[in-house]
Amino acid sequence: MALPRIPLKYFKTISPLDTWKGRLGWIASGVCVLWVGASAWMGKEVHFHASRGQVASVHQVWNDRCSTCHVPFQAMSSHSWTPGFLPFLHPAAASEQKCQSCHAGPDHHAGTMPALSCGSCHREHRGAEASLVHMGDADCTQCHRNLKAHYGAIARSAFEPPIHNSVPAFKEGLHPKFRSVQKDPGQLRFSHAQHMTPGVPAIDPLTKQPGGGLWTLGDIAPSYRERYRNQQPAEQRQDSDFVHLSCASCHRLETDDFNLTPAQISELPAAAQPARSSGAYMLPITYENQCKACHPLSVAERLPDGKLREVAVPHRLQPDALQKHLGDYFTAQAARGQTGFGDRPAAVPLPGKLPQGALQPSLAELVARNLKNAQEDLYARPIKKNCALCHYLEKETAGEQVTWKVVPTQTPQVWLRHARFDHAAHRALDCRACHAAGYTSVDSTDVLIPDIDNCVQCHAPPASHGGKVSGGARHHCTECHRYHNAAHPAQGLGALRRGAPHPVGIEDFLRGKLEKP
Amino acid sequence: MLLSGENWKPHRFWARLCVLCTVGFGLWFASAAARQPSWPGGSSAVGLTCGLVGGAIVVFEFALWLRKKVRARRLGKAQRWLRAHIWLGLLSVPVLLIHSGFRFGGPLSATLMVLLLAVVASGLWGLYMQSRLPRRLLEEFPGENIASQIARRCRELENEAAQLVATVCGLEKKEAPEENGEAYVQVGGGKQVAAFTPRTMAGCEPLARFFENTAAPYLRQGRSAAPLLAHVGGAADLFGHVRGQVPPEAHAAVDVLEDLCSQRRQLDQQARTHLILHCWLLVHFPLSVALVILMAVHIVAAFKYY
Repeated sequence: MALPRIPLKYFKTISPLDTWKGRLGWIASGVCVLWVGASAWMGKEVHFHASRGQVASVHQVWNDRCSTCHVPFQAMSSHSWTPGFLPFLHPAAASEQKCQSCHAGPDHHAGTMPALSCGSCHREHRGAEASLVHMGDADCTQCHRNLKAHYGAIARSAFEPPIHNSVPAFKEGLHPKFRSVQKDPGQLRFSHAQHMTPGVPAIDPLTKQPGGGLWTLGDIAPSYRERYRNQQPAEQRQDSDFVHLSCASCHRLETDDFNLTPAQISELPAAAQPARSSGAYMLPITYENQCKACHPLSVAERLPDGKLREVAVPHRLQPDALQKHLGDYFTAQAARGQTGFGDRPAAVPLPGKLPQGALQPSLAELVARNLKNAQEDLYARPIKKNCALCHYLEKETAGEQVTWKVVPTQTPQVWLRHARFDHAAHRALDCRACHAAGYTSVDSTDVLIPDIDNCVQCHAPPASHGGKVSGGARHHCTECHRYHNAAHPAQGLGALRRGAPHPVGIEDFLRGKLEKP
Repeated sequence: MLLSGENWKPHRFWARLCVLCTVGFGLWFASAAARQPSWPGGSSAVGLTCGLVGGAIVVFEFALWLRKKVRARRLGKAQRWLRAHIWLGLLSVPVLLIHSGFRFGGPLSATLMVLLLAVVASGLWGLYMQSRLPRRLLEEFPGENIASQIARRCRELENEAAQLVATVCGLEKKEAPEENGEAYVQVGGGKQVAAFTPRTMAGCEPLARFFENTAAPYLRQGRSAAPLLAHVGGAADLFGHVRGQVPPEAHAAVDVLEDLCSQRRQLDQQARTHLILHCWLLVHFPLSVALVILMAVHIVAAFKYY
């Protein structure tokens, strides 16, 4: 039997394995080239499917248009590391111009440092459901951990004192107390305890505690009675039952929840009836909506025949304007009583002589007396349902002339000026969970908005001590605070300074052509 | 095993380098992640560094193929290249995972990650095969042939058998196909049957029929043509049956034919083992090609939109 023989140059033989290896290599190359070519040909832009992830839903329309936000070979984030040895890479600068085509992104405060690009904090490509505004505390504490280091050219006077140098976390002792709830700037007399007591008893002027003079449903004006009847517990809805107010009797998030009649709606200022309220803040308290049912403003008018009549007085007028209004009214009423007053020719005074009053001296005296009584009723006697019951007044006496002025109430509509609060997110909680003094406060200078010690019960890391649980709710800086436009805290998202500097048409918008032409 | 005993010494340097780099980059990533709300991405300092290092590793890994193509140039020792290939390939996984921020990202980056893991996994499979099968080849195939010459050897066996049967059965001999003008060398190996001088014998028609119908197709095509001959027991039965049909003086020829079929069987098994030993390359190599091409696209796109 012959021994095996092999060619000398056997190593040049290509085995089937090698053949297939080569073929598969070429196939793999072809597939890659086809994929790259197809993505270049079929896409709105050439991006090779290189996106690191889907953009947030608010930017979905430009998911395939990278040039809407990106400048080629330029970083989006100031934190991106741009190696100096790669000359074609540039740090973030022009890319934030693209962001500001739609989002003005006003400064945090004038002259804040450091100068960061939009992409340094607002991180995209984390999926459609990701939030572009909720970010980690590190983005805030990079400055607020040691604010003095970042003052730079900022003038101290530009800020409301005090400024806390270090706020590293939302925790008692690390985060300062809420400065805007340390003192009530309001100038309105109101006792929550009195109003939350069934029957709304009058306040004893000596003890300042509720006592006597209880209100029933029947005491409320008929046009308002049903509204308050429907708020009562089911077993206390007779006219003879005491009025039983709750937090929701006055504090609501949505105008429709008051169940106002068309006549009552027409009385309200339009600003107190926002359409589609977001539910973040309680609607402002207005006299017409929350107070008038039990506190109708009126003064007594003595008629020429000696009878007394109650006259309704409009709200929201300063005493001088109200006096003029009442003067005109009383005069008109008095003049109406005179026979032929309308046909009498107007008296033309002799040169150098003052015209005599059109009213008979006795009627003129009546008008003057009614005006004087009205002034005393409204301002000098706080025990009646008049201005002095609720408002602080300034009195100036010049001889026999007394002038009054109502001090503006200045009750804040939004108490936490540098933070956001959303009542709708907290509606599962009883009001008293946070506003514990809402049923017991007798002094209108009490601030019933809770401080940080109340918030950290929930907005803290979850914990359990002695069987009591706490925390678990989000407690990041951005949960309550916003960065942009901090110098104008009262402005919301609709403010002009937050908008696009150059609005565009639909076609340009969809194509991502958002910059100034 | 490849990485055991004395074989481990040359790998120690690479193993330490791999561990050190992994721990170093890992600590850097952890410290960067602690300062940010989300894990650092590819454009961060640690991300970009890992990307550059990982990309360089991938290029070096692919360069092994070029090194083998131009082996005559002796660009460094092949063993050293292979050690570097193994350990840097392993290192590429944590480095590129850190570069990605442990995210798949978009279609291109997700594909790259899958390709990387598949390439490394196939490489690890190949490493395991390379540590197990060569010893088995050595033990089970003492007459081991060069893999690329198996087909040629099978043709030789068929020709030998044809010549033997033609002589013994008095048939017309068919000339073996002309070899091309190559130079050959004879190589020894394997157990051979005791020397036998073929001569024509009467009564060997069953042998001729058996050869024509069963043995020749098997020698030509392998187990698919005659499954019984592919098994030792089946072959023994068949050849025992053939011996019973031919005169005793022809038994030696039957023995030789049986031996040739046995060699064919061993060559089949050797070829199968060789395929198992190297088939991972059919996955590893094409995926590596795809990985390199798409990595180049990714680098361009990533720098353009970072």
